[in-house]
Amino acid sequence: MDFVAKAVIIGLTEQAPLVLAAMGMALIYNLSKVINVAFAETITLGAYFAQWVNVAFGASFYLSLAISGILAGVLSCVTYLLVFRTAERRGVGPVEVIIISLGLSVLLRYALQFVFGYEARFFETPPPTFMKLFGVGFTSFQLTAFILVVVLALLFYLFVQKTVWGRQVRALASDADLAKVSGINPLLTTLIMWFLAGAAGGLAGAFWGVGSSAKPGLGWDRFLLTLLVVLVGGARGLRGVILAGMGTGVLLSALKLEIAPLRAEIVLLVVFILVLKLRGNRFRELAKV
Amino acid sequence: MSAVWDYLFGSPAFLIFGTYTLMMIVGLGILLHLQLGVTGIGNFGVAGFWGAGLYAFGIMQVTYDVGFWPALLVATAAGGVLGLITGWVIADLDDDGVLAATLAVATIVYLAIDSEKDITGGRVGLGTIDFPFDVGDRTDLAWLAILFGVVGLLLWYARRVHRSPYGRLLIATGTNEPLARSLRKPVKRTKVGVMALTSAGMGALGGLYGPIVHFLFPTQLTVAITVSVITALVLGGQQRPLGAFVGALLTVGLFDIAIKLYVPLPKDLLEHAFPVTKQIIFGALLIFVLLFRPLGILGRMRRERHVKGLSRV
Repeated sequence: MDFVAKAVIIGLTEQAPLVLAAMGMALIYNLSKVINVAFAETITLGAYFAQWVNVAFGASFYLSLAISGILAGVLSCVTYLLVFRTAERRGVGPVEVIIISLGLSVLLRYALQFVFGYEARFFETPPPTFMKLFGVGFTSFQLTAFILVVVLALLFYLFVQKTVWGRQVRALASDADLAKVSGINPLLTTLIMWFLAGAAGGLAGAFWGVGSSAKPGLGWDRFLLTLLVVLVGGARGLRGVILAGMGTGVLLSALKLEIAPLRAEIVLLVVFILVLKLRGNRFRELAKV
Repeated sequence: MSAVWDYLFGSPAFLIFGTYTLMMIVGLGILLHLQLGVTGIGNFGVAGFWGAGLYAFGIMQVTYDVGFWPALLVATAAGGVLGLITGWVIADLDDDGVLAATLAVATIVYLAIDSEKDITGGRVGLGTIDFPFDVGDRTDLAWLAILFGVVGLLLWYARRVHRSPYGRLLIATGTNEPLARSLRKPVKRTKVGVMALTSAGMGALGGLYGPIVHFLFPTQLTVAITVSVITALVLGGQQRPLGAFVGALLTVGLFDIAIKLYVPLPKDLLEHAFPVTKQIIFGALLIFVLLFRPLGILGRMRRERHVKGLSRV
């Protein structure tokens, strides 16, 4: 019981931003059918934007969080308009779109070093208070981050599932032609979705950044796990992504409690690869029927 | 004349090391051409397969004191087995799944090297690895000649594949997988086979890189290698065996040899701004080439040009 409580508390508090990032990536994946590797840099830039607002303007972390979400959302829209929409119009194939997004990711990761410098940048936040639950220690900041992530994830979920805009996004994702005939503005709806996705990625980056620092590889280091959560949980919609994200956090922390951290990550990746393999076979079996 | 000679070959060690890197990227690019350009498998974990060979070779040589040839065999086998497993995993997956699986394999290799310090040396490093022969001052040059030979062999093999029935099977798998499947072509076996074979080649190239660097670190296995190989192949032409060579000349050849050796850049610029600018240009190249000239400089494969020509008649 003690082990389970520890794994759940550590997993949820440490990996909460993963859920947010995975929701953002899943939005793009479900609507545009694009795995956007450059989403890693939306996460990274979210951390940089928040750190910049926090330090340069002396803003509180929560204000800088909101601004970084907006800026990351705008950046996401710009990348869509400049790169992905052009690729869509020119009929670029799926593998090539992935390579294009890899190129964009590399371009942004290194270009931001010219803007923000080569070194890691730290937030200026007041020292957190330490708390304990079931014998597991965590900071007040981690708790706030977890609550904020839960609230934001819930808001994203409700927006996509319950609002008119969300319904339009889903309609466009399932049948673009029918959605256009129904009077949905595809460009506006797509931009709203890319903005939300970018904002979610940026916020996740800001949460990760404040826990360590804003550095060029921040998003890339977390991209694979985010991608795997989207691919494994995405088959069951946003609810599946949220569950897969939380499950991943708990499983990773459980593994880290038992074995060395790097080995725990290896085991987690092997588990994901096996799930992907099984999922592929299952779909093929379904296709046969 | 002597001044020109001095200008061009005044820093032979740098020139040779730059050419090693160029040849390594060309070799990996030719193998990626068979995976991506011919069979349609988007392998985003090139660094992992290459790194598996590099470290397998290093572990055999340093930790177990094994000779050059058995170590190279183990390096090739390491890449091949990893490719076989990866091929089995990705055979049923769509492009997104292939991206995730190949990236995951490369990350596992990196994490395993970083975590198993007793065998790999971890971040402290593993070394030293020497050339298997000694011909005095010319040893590095002789090794470069061997590397040229190996890359030449790979190029010859890739060209042969294009003209063979096996090549037609690969092209069919890459161009239209459902059609190939409906024609009872062994698509799954083909994908697994091509992944195993080409990844074995990547492992062997990794093994051959060991004596060049002498000391192995996990940081040598970064995604930058994969990006360099993909950029070279995409720029040159992913459907052509020579694509990687042309692309590597224009990217690695330009940045890691021509500019580094012959443009007098300040040291500070060379250490920080230069590698960053190089990566920005690589990223921009990937975007622009795929958006505006998706088949790269060399264009379509010859077979398609021939078929198009016939259809016009």
